[in-house]
Amino acid sequence: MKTLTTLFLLLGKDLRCHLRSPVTLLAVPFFAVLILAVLAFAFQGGEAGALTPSLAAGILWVALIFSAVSAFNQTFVTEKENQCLKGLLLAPCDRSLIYFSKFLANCLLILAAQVVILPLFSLFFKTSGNPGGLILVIALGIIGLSAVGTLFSAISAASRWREVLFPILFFPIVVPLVIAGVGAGSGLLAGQPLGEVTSWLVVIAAYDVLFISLSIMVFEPTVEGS
Amino acid sequence: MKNNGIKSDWTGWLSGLLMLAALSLIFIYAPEEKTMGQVQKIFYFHVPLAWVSFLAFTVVFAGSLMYLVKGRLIWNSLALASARVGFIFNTLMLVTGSFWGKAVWGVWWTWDPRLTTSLILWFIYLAYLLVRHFGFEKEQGARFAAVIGIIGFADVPVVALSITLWQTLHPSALVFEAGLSSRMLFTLIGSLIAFTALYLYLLRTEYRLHQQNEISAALEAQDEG
Repeated sequence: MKTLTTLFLLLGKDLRCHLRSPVTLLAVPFFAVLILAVLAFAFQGGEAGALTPSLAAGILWVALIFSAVSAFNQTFVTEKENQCLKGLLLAPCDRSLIYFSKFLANCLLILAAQVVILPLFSLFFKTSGNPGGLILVIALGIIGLSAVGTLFSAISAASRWREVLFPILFFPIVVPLVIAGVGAGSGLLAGQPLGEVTSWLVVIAAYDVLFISLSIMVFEPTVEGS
Repeated sequence: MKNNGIKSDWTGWLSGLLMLAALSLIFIYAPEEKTMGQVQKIFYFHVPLAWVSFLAFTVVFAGSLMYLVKGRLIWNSLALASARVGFIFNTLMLVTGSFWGKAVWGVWWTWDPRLTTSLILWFIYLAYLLVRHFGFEKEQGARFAAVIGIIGFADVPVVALSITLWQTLHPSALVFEAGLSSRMLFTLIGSLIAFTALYLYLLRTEYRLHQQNEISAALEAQDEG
């Protein structure tokens, strides 16, 4: 199908860009682990008595959303050089594919970073519990974060003060993800099976579907006239 | 656009009269609550303020959607006017909610679903109002704001859902509950009508002001060109 071929072309371009100058690729896990370390000090060394599963889940999510911001800040900024975005918009395809490829690239980028982040999280905070379930929750959450983050990146990239604007836009919208993610994560880290936290999973899944669809619909007017 | 000044603005006069009526309902007609006394009457301000701030954001959403679909700047003006007014009502809702909490439970803040959702809405309003000022051209800023209006509006029910779910799992005694006698209900509805009229008056005034600023800016630009 032509759409799928175009999507893979665009996705390939984005991934190759990330691999060729791996600043963002490295920044996300570094930043996340730094935040985990700082929060470990903030919460008294993460010793067994100081941290409940819900607090540990909260710390993980804070690290997740703040490190994701560094990925989203950069998403459309590189397209501003050499008028790349104008070139992309001239491509004979549905413009929402541009959004979708960047969205997928961000998902993959942040998911890849979890390979470093999650084991270190487990190490710093001596967590036990349901690792498979936690990975699922984090993955679903990352999809939601990327859906919104990629869209808002297109807005903030157009501004000189993008690093200030992006968090103002991003954080209020991802609050439900944080609430649901920490809700599910705290249950899972306490050792509950995945079946116990399905209501949270439903919230995250609904959020993902809603915001991916909405972002696809509003992406065209967002980049129009760039 | 005819503008005969304050005397002919019937929405202003109407909302003034309705507000006087509502105030008399609140302070004279409504019965005093057994346990909380006079302080309970914050309720008659707090609930309508909440209702209007959500109504205003619905108008922001509708205006944003129409602006993206139709492209006419009047929709942008409508959404912006509603956002400015709604933001004030939202702030007042949070403040009255805080006073209510202090009076009834002794705490200045509680993570009650309505207060929490309203807090997140406050941030979304702020994002909507601020985004135009980050160095964009007017039309681009209006488009970006419209996108925020739409995404933000979709976010509010999800926030409400997730915080309600969180509340059911971590029940707290500090939740807004309302058992209303018929006189209280009547007073509440009267207050709701008055605050909605006030919102409509402020919305209309703000919209007209914004439109007139646009027209005069366009005329100035023509003069210079």
